[in-house]
Amino acid sequence: MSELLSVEDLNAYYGESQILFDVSIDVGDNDVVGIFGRNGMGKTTLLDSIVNRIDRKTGRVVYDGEDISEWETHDIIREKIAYVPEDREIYPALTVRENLELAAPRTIDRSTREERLDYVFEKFERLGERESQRGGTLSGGEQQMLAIGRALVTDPDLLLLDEPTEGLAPTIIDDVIEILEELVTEDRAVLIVEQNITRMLPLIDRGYMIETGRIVADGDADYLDDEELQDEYLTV
Amino acid sequence: MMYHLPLLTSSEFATYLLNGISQGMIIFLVASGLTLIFGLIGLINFAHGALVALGGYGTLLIADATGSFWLGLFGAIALVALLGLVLERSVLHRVYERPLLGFLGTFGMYVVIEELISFQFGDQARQIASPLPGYVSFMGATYPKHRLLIIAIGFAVALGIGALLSYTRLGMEIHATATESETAEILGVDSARVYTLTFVIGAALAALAGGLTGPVTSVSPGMGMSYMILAFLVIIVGGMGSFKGSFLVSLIVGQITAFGWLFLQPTYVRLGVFVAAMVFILYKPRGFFGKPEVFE
Repeated sequence: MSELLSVEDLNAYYGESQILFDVSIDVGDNDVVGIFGRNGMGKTTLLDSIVNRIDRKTGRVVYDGEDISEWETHDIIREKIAYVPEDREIYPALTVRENLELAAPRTIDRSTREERLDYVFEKFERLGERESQRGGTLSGGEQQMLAIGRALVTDPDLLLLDEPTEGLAPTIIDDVIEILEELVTEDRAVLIVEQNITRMLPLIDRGYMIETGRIVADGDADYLDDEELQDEYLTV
Repeated sequence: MMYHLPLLTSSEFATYLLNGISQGMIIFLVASGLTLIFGLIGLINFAHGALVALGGYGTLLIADATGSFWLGLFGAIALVALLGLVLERSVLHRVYERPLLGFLGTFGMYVVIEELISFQFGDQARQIASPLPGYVSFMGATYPKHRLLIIAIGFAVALGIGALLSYTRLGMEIHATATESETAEILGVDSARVYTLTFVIGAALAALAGGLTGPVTSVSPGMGMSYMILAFLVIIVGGMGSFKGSFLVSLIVGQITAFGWLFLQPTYVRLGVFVAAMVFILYKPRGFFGKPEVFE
């Protein structure tokens, strides 16, 4: 399998604080990869580093054969990488439709854009029902659907998901997992950051454990489904 | 000094009303560019006053050379927009994260540009010939055609910018970048390009205001600053960054100024407008349509 994304010897900093230390990960075409670790271990920083949303980093991020380490965030996103951030970052004053239209690439024509919006509204019927509602009036679960929908209108080759179940009620988590189950079977690579490893293991091909900014274990879903390993790196 | 309360005839009322609207539109044209730039970038752009003056002088010079007011106006708008592009790309984009530096930097630009104009053309006010000389009859009054032109263009600009912000992709990108530029970036929006475009549009609006008002009030090196004071009042009372707030308050200030002259000398009217604005802001610090994050 060829690598779609390679992160090589990544060190990342916020101000003077170093958050990641020599992190290397790979994501192949159509690969579903998980990054697991406790809060504050550097999972979000890893995704932020891939799309260049951090103060400073060293190392390389190679995507589809190109070194994108120094690219601007919007240029990286335009290479069909979509990012669903942990706190969703919905525009509260824009409607559901406007949030989606904003994410649709400038380069696609109107009919393609409408097709992609229809695809999102079919996948998330609740969003379709609330098309004209402002983003800020949606529930937490609906906002998460909108954040994922916003990523899907770009028709990404690589989808970055940061804690998609964080802060949601258990019944809503079931809905989101159901959506993720569909997404991972589609023709794209997915990199998921999560604390909830139990719910994610059935979805992923491979995964990495991260501890204080360092990759400490990696392997397939069977290898990571180990109580001792999870106790060491995930239990609070 | 108080005047007697006069009884107005319908023609006098129409004249005062139109004076108020045209005065409001002049203030709005200056304030609209400032509002766009403040609303998106958070930059209090003192250089805007100098761009107004450059718009006035550019229109004057090109109109004198070509014999066409419209060539002068559009030429000045294009040149000032180009200057706005150069200023934004070379200097201003570096100070967006540092409001005090931005404030001082744009004030410095204002002083330099005003002094250069003064050095080159002198301090004496100069008149631009109107493309629409003469008067029209309206409700028994005769009214200068050029002032009606200002009213028409003011409304057209309000509708145009309103439509741009509400119904276009660029409008959505401006909203997204103004609300949270980092989020806009992860949606593929080039926020630096949005900042630049908005600044250029603001500069063009400043030049339009300067060129269009030249035939009414004449042009002078300090013309921009005299408008800027009222424009700042308008954007504060309208709500910092609110385009519709600027439009509404410009019209209100225009009417107060026009009808106020019936009762008080112009200096006292202006003073009254500022006192009323201060009292209003004490009770409603965000202004009419201001965003909460500006003051909280």
